[in-house]
Order: sequence, then C-alpha cells, then structure tokens
Amino acid sequence: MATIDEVRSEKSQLELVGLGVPNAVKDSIKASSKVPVVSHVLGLFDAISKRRTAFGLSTPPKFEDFSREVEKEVLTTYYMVPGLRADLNYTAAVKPMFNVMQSFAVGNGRDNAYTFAGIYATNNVFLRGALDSDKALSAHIVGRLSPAIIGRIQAHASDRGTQAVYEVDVPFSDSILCIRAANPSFLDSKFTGMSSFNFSQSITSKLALGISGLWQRQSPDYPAQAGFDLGGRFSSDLFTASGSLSAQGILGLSYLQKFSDKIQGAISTSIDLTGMAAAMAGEAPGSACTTSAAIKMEYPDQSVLRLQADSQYKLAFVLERIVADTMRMTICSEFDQAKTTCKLGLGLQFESQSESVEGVMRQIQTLSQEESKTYLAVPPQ
Amino acid sequence: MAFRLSEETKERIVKFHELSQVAFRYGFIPLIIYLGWSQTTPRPSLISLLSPLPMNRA
Repeated sequence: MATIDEVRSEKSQLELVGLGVPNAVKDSIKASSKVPVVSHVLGLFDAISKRRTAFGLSTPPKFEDFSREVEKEVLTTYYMVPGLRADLNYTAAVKPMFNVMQSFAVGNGRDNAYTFAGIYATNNVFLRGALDSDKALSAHIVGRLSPAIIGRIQAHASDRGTQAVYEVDVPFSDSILCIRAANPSFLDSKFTGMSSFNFSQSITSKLALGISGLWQRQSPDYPAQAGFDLGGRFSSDLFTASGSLSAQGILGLSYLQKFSDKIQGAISTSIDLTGMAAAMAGEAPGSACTTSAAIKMEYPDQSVLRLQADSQYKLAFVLERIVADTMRMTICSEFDQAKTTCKLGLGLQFESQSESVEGVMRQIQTLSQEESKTYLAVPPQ
Repeated sequence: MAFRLSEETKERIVKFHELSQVAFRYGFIPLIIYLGWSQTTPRPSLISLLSPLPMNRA
C-alpha cells in the first residue's frame, strides 16, 4: 500500500500534467480455436460476455477504492502534514513523462528530512521511485500486460528489510478482479507471505458489490490465516454511499454528498463490532466507534479548503492555495480538544518546467481531454 | 505443496536475493533518471535535474 506521503507527492506530480484519467480499457477476447471442445467453451464465454455487455454496465472501482473519494479527497487525514515542508517539482517532459521532485521536511516526525523522487512514464509503463535521507527506497512499477490488464509492483527497501507487493488488475466490462501477493517465498519448504484477491461487480449502473479474500502465513511454523471482507457501493450523480465489513469485524461506512460542483460533504464511520481491534491497539473500549465529518470547498481562484470534525473531539482544517503560477501553499492545523494539543503545518510547493513542457501545456489548453492524449503520456496507474 | 531445497541452493538463492535487493535499492533512481534523460528531447542538463535550485532550467 502506498504511504500517505507517496499519495501526496504522486498526486501533486500527476496533477501537474493534468493526468488521472481512468485507465480501464475495455477489450473483449475473441473466441476462436480449431479444437471443437475449446471453441465450444470459448464460444460459451463469448456468449456470456455479450449478454453482460448488453446490460450496459460500466467497470466499477476496485473494492479497496469503494470509499476512495471520501478518504482521499474530502477528509483532511491525507493532507495533514504538521511541521514545515517544501517540495520542489521539476517537469522535464510530458511525453514520455519525466518529472523529478525534491522534498524537504522538518518537525512532523514522519517524513524524512530529504526525499528525492523521480517519475518516468510512457503510455505503457509507469516508474516511480523515491529515495530518502535514510537511504530507504520506495518504488512503484506499473506496466500494461495487455491493453486492459495492468501489472504492478510496489517495493520498499530500507535497512530493516525489503517488502514487495505484486499485483495484477484484470478489468472486465462490468467487473474488476485484482490479485495480489506480498513477500511471497517458497524457501522454507512451504509458501509464506500474503496472497489476496479482491473482486467488484456492477449490479446496476449505480450499485456495485465487492468481495475480498486474504490468505497469509508469516512463518512456516505458524498456521495460515484467512479472512473475507465484503462491501457495497451505491453512487449517483449527487451522492455516493459505501459500506464494508472486514474479517476483523470492523464495519466501515462512508457517505459523500455533492452540494454543488465546488462543495462536497462527507461522513465516514468506523465501528469495531467485536472490540478486538481496539483491544489489540491497547485503546479504551469507548473508542470502538469513530466518526469523521468533513466538507471540501473549492474557490474560483483554485484554492481548496477542507474542514473536519470527528468524534474524538478533533477539529482540523487544510487550506491549499495557489500563491503564484509556480507556487502552491498548504496550511493545515488540527486541534485536539480532549488532549488540548494543537498541530500546525505549512507546506510550500514550487513547480517548474522545461521550455518544451511550457509550449505543450500552452498548446493543450485549447484541446479536449481526448485530443490532449496525443501530447501527454497516459501511463497505467 | 511441501518441497525441500538443498541448503546449498537455498543459500545461493538468499545470496542472489540480497544482492539484487542492494542493486535495486541503489539502482532504481539512477535508472529512472537515465531513462528520462535519454528519452527526453532536448536532453535536460543533469545539474538542472539534480539541483534543488531552479537554475539553468530554461
């Protein structure tokens, strides 16, 4: 899973060249074989696939992204960076996309003092690497295995060891399957590591259901563990509601309401039904349910304000403001009334680009999103 | 699916894995920079890519 920091920097880097278009490409497999049995089976699959296409359903989001708009767009959690932070972003080219970012951070206890990140992306490959001052590397490699199927490797290498997650996304016309393996190893005579799948299926144009299964064995001496998560998502033009029940007994509910193009409100609740997760974290039983309510407002000058209050008596705001063409400023604060503590954060983002990029950006301002794809790399994500 | 590897093979795999980890950890960022630098026209100067200051970025 990407860390909060990765999500932030990746988002900012992608925003720069106006990417982020969904990459689910639909393709159908032509049934053709000379062996009669095989051709019969392929024909059956083809018939089922045609019937499914006839419903006119679209590819749903991945199961783990059911509440993505709430968690990563409206809630302040992903944007809270206490302390001081400066990002210097340089885009050298947009097709293939080549971007380097250097970040300096102090006083937040999470980010390293210095991070160097680079992105290289073409229409078929996306490479992102970040090396920080503790010499820890986080790498994200994405490639198209076919026009529709996307393979992904996420790795993190530091002095404490290496973790690698291998993932394949297989989108169909009305569903998506994601298969994942983390740190797989056969060296100890048995498979150790974690393997999981998640599958989501559109039922109607608005409703999608999802299931996720996980199987893991950390060490050959211990028994394997398995669990299933279930979830659903209903989305219309005005609101999106999603819910999921995890194998640990945590019920997550989220709701997003669009008040207008520029104003969105969201509520997210997490209820620990068994109390096990709170007990494992050493928390009081009272904290088994947390609810956050947040509102996101976009202003005409492209400033974005997020306000949030939660059931643990925390109030937070994050203001993103474009100060100049090449500079963006983020001010954030969180006040914890129960503990009477306050966090403050200031982030500055400087963006610069080569002359050729400036020319391309001027050119595509008048073009539609489809036309601009000929000038911009559209990497798999 | 239990199968046994000989100790020697296991050691070799572990050694190879360790070496490839080190190569990946220190080689990935240079690889990205090389790919980007070699595929971009006009080629950007390395100083402008590696320096945090916005100099020579015309």
